[in-house]
Amino acid sequence: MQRLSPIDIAIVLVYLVGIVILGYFLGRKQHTETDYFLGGRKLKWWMVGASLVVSDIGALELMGVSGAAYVYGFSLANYDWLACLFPMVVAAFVFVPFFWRARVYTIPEYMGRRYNDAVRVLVALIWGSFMVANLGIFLWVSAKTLNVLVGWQLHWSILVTAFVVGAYTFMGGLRAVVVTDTIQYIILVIGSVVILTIGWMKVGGISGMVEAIDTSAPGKEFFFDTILGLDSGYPLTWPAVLFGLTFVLGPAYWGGNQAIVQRCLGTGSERDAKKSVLFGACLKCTIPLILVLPGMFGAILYPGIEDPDTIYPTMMAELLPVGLTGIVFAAFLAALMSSVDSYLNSAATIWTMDIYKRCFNREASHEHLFRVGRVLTIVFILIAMGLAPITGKFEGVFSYFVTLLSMFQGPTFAILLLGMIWKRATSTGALVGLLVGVATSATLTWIGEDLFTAAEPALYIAWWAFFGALVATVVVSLFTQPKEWSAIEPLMFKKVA
Amino acid sequence: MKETLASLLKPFADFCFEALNAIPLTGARIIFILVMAALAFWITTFKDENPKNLPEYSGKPSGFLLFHDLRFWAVCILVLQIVLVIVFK
Repeated sequence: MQRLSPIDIAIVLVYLVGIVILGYFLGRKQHTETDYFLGGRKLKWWMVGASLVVSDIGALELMGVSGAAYVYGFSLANYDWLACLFPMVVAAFVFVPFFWRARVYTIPEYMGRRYNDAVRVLVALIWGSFMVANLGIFLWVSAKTLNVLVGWQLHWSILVTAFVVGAYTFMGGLRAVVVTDTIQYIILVIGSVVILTIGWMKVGGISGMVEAIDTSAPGKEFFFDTILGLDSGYPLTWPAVLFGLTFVLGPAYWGGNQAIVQRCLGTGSERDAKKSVLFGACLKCTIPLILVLPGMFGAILYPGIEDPDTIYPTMMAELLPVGLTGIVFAAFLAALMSSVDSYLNSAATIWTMDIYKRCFNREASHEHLFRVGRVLTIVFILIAMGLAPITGKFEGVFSYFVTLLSMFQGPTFAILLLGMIWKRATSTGALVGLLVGVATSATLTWIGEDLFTAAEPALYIAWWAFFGALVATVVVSLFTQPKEWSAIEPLMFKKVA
Repeated sequence: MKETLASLLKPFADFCFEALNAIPLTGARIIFILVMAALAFWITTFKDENPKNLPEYSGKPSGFLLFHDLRFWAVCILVLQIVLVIVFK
């Protein structure tokens, strides 16, 4: 699309070298797995809050949300408002303080204590595989984006991204992830505000946009609406948002995703852990302004783009002067890297603590686990580099693989929730519930097109998979022997401030 | 197999679609508002965080303490979400 000027390249290089050096300094005094996986439990709550938000905005979201807003308009704000604010408040008061008090490293570790080791290892394998596979996809999408944006060769983009992220995550662990994420959040906001402001001036603000969009045109009838009916034909209808996002996928992500919860566990106190999620929720309120509005402005400035997902890079290339392009491009790289570093560190944590330590070396010392975590970080970034080009060649297969793994989110969340709030839930019930939930998800995905009239069936499938897992866990638990109350009492949710 | 399963489940899927589609958008908006309000109410029933007990807040005036009660911020976020649902069509 365009070549960067020397000034822009200098800005980008300073940024890339700067965060690698920062990773080195942050990792110098780390010696144990608590230092590496939980930042020594000394992370600042406001940094964790910013890190939570920027990790949620990866390459897929940055391109995808702006691209979808280009086509569908303001309803995409629901991804950040209705799908996030409710679940984040629930996570702040229910899940995060609960895990913090349990002093666990991972969610599978909690599952193991609450149910048994079979549930722990199964959930760890699912999440661990999901994260490593996703790393390859993140790298591939990033490379494709950089190829479109600045014409970089795909293999060079993969190499540069993997080297930079791998280096600072390897050296600094979770602390480096959170600190660099905070810097990346600031750069991302600056870059996005620049695009928003220039787009705003070109379009003539909100009133200019309202005048320019013909809402009587086919496909644009609901361009400015947020609550949409099933017959609108738009993907984010209100039942999909309420049942799929607000009730299942949102809480599963903010309260049950290892990459999210892990950094909250790295704060110094339970109160700080809660504050980090609430601060993240406050920041989330502003995200539609920097992702959705630029996409909507793009619909006026650049109508008829063949691939709507390229609207954000197109606006970067067309609207920004030299120098600013470098800053916004660095912001773009920041968004790409923030998801990769989070998943890389969390994958290493799960494989170290729930698979290696649990299955192969129960007596491992703190220093040994620290070294294993670092080695796995290198191994996973190398695997991701290998997977990235394969993702490109067999995109359908990998998309299916990731879809398959993402099917576990609803069912895993169901057994997690029941384990926390229902003392009668048993390990057999949880295993059966997980399998029933996944089977429900797979079956509905298989027959999806013939069954669902509404657009975006994945959101309804997530709801039914969650519901199926919930019912199966309850039914089987009622016929099996629960653990002694004294053994699970510390692991049950209590309403405390 | 696929067709059989689809034909078995289709009546229920259609029933759900029709039932949800029958709810007017104003009703949907009210549902969202009620869900947020219910969560806000539930959060307020959590025990008082009493920041006076935290060393960093000892001696601070009581009005100041309101802003350090995390329940207050949670309710603010949910009220903001309610306002967004009301303001945007």
